[in-house]
Amino acid sequence: MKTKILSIIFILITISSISAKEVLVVGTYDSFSAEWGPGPVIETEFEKICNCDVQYVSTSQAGTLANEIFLKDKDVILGVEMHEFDYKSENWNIYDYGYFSFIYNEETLKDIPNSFEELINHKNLKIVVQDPRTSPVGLGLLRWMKLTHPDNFSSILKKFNNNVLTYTPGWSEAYGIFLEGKADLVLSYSTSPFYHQEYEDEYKYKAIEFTDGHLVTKEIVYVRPDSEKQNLGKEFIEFMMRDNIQKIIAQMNIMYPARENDNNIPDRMRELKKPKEIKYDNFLEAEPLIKIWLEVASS
Amino acid sequence: MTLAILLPLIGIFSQYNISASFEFSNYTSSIIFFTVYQSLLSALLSIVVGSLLAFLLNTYNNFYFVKIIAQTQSILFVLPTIITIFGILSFYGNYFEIYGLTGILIGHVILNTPLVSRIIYQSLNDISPNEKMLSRQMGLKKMSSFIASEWPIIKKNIPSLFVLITFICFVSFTPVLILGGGPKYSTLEVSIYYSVVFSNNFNTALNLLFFQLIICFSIYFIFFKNFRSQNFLIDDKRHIKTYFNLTLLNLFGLLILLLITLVIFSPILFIIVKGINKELLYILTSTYLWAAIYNTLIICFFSGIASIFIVYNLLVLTHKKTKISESLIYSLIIFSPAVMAVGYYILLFKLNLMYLPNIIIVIILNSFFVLPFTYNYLAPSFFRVIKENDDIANSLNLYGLSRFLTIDLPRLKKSLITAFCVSSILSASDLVVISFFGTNNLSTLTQTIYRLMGSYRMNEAYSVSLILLIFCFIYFFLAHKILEKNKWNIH
Repeated sequence: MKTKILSIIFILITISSISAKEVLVVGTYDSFSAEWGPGPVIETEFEKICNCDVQYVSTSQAGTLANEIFLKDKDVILGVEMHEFDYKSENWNIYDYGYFSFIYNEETLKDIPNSFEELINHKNLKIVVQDPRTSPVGLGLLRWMKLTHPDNFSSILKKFNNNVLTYTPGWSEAYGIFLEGKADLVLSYSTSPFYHQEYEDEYKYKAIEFTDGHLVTKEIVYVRPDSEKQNLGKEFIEFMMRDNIQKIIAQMNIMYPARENDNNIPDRMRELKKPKEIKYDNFLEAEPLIKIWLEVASS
Repeated sequence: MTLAILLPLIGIFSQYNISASFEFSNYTSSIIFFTVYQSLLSALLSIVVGSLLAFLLNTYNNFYFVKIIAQTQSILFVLPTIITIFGILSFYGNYFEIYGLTGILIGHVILNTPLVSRIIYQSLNDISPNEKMLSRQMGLKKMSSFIASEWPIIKKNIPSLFVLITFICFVSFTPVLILGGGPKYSTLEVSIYYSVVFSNNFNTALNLLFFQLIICFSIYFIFFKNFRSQNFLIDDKRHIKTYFNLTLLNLFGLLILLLITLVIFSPILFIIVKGINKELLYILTSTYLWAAIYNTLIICFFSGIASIFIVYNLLVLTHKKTKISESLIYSLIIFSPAVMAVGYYILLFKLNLMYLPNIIIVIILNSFFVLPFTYNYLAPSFFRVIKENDDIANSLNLYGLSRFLTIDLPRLKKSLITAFCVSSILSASDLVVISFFGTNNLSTLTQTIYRLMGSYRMNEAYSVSLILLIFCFIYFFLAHKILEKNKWNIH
């Protein structure tokens, strides 16, 4: 039995080493590389021209893409949020973007708040958001709120917290609770309604537009500086910027294409209203915001 | 066994920086207090409800539907926690102020009652045929028969179950985060996870883990000292099998039985209602589903076998010194899953073992992670049977494998099969190991459910949950059918 296992392992190793094609290991997150995500199509299309083998290694633990431990042995990392990226790599690019936004069901919510102030004064509103300690989306909310309310951030957050039903570990749980009709608002992206329109022909979900602006979030793909496949990696990144691939990303990742133009933006996405973007100079550090959040939300 | 726990820690410690100082915030201390409080309370409630359910299931197991409930309750563990929580929110969210301590307690009771009940039910059933024959000749009143026969067995199970459930609730992650409603109700585990995965701060993680260990071991020793010192006279008691009469008391018992069953099965009802939707047929034709079913089956089966093998040998080796083996087994729960997984991850890199096929890594790690449960399913029957068989074995001069095959196996078979099934099912429900070591080609049903949820595909996620449930039913059914087929006629 032991020899059997060993020989199987041996065969597997030999098989993988004799294939002459260069292998490009792409570390990414689950929903990108899943069968219904943009990953498989991009893989097939790129392999047609690169004479290489693209292999996705995906993680479902949010945040791990920014954690050095999980990045070893990978050539390209796809899907780092712009705030978590260290900008040390030479080869990187933004492949899609979106705006943090609250989503509501227009059949059940009539009185729509259009700013954080209106939202916190709306006493009966039940909101579900993500825990900023475990979800980049939850962290995004803190940054967004801090940028729109630099001076009274903690008092706004405190009142906001009164309307929060619960903080979930990740985006999926929050969105699930919202779809189950257990909350009036969920923190997500302004492009979320696109999914329901495009794939479910459902138009009742809408994104709220805040008058004082929204925080943009961008996703980055980069070649790891210690990878031996810098050129191939660079090719891959450039490939992702092509119009047809940008369209696939927008279509399947439910985000705006980074090189947006008339050819690569899906029709229904073009029809969505883009919220006003907040302009700012420096990224806000996560730790201090989380500390304030912990104080406010746990008191 | 010891290695299973120590190895990942070596991995983590290789990242540890001794000189770093540790800031012990107010928040951390309030979380520690709350974690202890909610886990003890959750364990207490789960055990009360679970014991009651097990007793009722055992009392009324002349009914066919009661037998079905007893057999199928283990399936409840397999549902991904998040689906169970959605079920809880849907069923009870409208009647209770669900977010907060109430929600956490309801969640933990629903999640853990089947575990308690299944183990106690099995112990109650685990009475030798000779005893049953003898017991019928005695005629005791209801209460005294309970005190004489069932209570000692239930009581014997309580200490280890209490520790098990307390630890599970201690490291509870998703239920506490969602049902707690805010960081006020959190667990140390959340902070550990945050330190390891997000802020990449191993010092804080290890310090927090250290507190977690101290507290859990204190609970372990305080509790075991108080409860183990009592002498259980379990083996001198006789089991009394009562026949069902249509009395008011029996009707009341059945009513309570149905009520508890309804409560703990509510997540299953939820998934049956939600899972049958228009996506279901479409999913059945997708390739990802069948690949996931295949992977789940392989992982289930081999992890189940491996954990049974480890636990059985551990029991044989240490059944005279249970304290050591038990504390080892239980520490597997309190070493937070995130730390263990990250530790193994680092270790495999350091040892250059990442080229091992991921499925093997996943199977091995899963079999470690389910050990505490396998142990709890097997140990009570094991101790009882071994003790009773010791004399026969000695007089027949049977040792080792031949003793196991000829005299222990026939009586342990039921427990072994159940332990195997439950360990398998628990491996199927794993999300931590698979999310660290799974690849695109190696996805399980549980992971697929989360992936679907992560891409807006809630209906598909419900359908796959339903398929996962059906998978487990079939797995249980087949395992029992195939494994129980060979009859051993020794007695």
